Amino acid sequence: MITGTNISLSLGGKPILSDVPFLLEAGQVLALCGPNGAGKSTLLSCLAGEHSACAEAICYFDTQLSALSPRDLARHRVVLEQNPSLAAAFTLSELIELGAPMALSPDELAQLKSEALAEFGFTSMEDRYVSELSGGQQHRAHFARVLVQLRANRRLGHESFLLLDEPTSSLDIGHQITLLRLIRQLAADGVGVLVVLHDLNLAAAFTDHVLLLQDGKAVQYGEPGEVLSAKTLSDVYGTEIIVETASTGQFVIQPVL
Amino acid sequence: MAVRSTRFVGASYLVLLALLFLAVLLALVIGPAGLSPSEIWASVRGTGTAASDTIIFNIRAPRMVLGIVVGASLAISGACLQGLLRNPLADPGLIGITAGASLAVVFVIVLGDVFIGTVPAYMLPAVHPIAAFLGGLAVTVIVLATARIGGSFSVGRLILVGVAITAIASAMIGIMIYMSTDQQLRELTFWTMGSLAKSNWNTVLIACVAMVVASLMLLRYRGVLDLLQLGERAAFHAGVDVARVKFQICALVAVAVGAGVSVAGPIGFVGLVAPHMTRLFVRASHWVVLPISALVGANILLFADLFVRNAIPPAEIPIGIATAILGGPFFLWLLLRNSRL
Repeated sequence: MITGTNISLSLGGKPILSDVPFLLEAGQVLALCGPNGAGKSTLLSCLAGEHSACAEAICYFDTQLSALSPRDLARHRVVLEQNPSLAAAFTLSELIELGAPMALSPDELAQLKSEALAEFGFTSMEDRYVSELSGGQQHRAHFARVLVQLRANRRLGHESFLLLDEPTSSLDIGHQITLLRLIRQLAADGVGVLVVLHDLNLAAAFTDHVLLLQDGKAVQYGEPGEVLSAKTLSDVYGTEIIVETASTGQFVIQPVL
Repeated sequence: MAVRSTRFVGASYLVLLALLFLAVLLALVIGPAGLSPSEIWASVRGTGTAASDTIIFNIRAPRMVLGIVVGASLAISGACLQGLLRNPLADPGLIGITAGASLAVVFVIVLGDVFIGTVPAYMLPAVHPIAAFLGGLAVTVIVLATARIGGSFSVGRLILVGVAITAIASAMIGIMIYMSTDQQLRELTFWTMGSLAKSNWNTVLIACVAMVVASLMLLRYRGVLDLLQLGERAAFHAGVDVARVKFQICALVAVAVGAGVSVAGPIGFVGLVAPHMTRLFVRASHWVVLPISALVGANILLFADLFVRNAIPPAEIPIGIATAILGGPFFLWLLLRNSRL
């Protein structure tokens, strides 16, 4: 479980996050929502251990983040950046191997790698250069890399959380759904997932809890049905938003145009 | 473009090792002294004349060993800096180490008369190498300290400080050249263009130990350098202590390059070209780039040295000119035929 008490962070004298509480349990999917500049990505980078200033406010299980070395942290959480990049001419296979801990045996690595390749529709493409793939494919390739790190951690006996910064932003609607179903599957296997999402409909459909941020403060935390109400969303986003329940029982959240 | 298989990587090792073996043989056999193969074979068996023994074991052999070690460690240093800075233009010369080392020696040559009389005779051959090493070290300390100002280690500042120091050092070397006598000018050429001609076992062994140890330690960062290709944030997410690793790699490069310059002068181009050739012809993963670049660098330097020793005997062209003349057009050709860098 990841817990945070009054997470606050100022960058260059400007407060970015103030007193944000945080809780993510194993097997749970938590969406981080809010308008641009609300502090979603900053909160995620705090939880990932990138800011020592707030490292004492965050605990992985019973250990303060400040007491964890980069290597320990890599066992406790895996992170997918919003815009992952690759500076070298690596093949898909070389990219996906990157995250795997050294402790993993070559056989286990090969197995995890071929599983991930198959899962993302990359079978028989492992020798393609990453730079030759489309933008969406590259993003999914980085997701596969992070997934191999996550599964390797679990195979080595470390409980590991998955932190995703807008993983659906460069994907078409079909791949968005596939990815979120995969996230649900991971949660069913006991992984705690934090996902920054702009698409409130996806957040409503696929997550257990939503943390809504505005101007660096937590507005509301709870189940999607409670947090994603028309009034709260209209206030936070500054535009009128309606929430309906479709005949399928699914929430439909849309702005009044 | 098709990706090269593991078998291709293995074949690259074999070809480069075979070439290196050939270069070593040629370095020992060919030279301005004109020894015949039978004289050389006699020396190897321990029945040669004193003159041919000296030429082979005390002139050609240390020079050959120095060529291999300097070439390999320049290539590994270049590959590490390119990987660390995620900048294909990075080169040991880029962060000012080479310039600092050269400047220190140029100072000693032109202005050293003041104190050179007080140096004991047995220390005289070591004065220039020591000056080069200290000059390289001083620049490294300045560059690393400046890059660390403000708590975090900034690669951008590291490169800019290196560029500034190189500019200042070049200007001061220019002033020294203007002030120097004809005799001094001849010696200055060595320290501005590089050469393997000053090799003897004493200086070569000390410098080689430093270069080999630093290079072997750099090889341990292969996995980390691969992760750094994802960017510093993602490398941290995968467990890399980025600030510490950056500092360690820069410090090891400084040792390797400083020791190299101290015995062979500043030799350009190898640290830039060898890693690129490896990436274009073999693979981009640092598990392959580092060791293969080392072999490529050793080959480049030995063949370049063969060329400068034998092109217009008994005169010698500075080896920096040869590496640029041999490497430059080849590098351009590589770039033109392959747009993927």
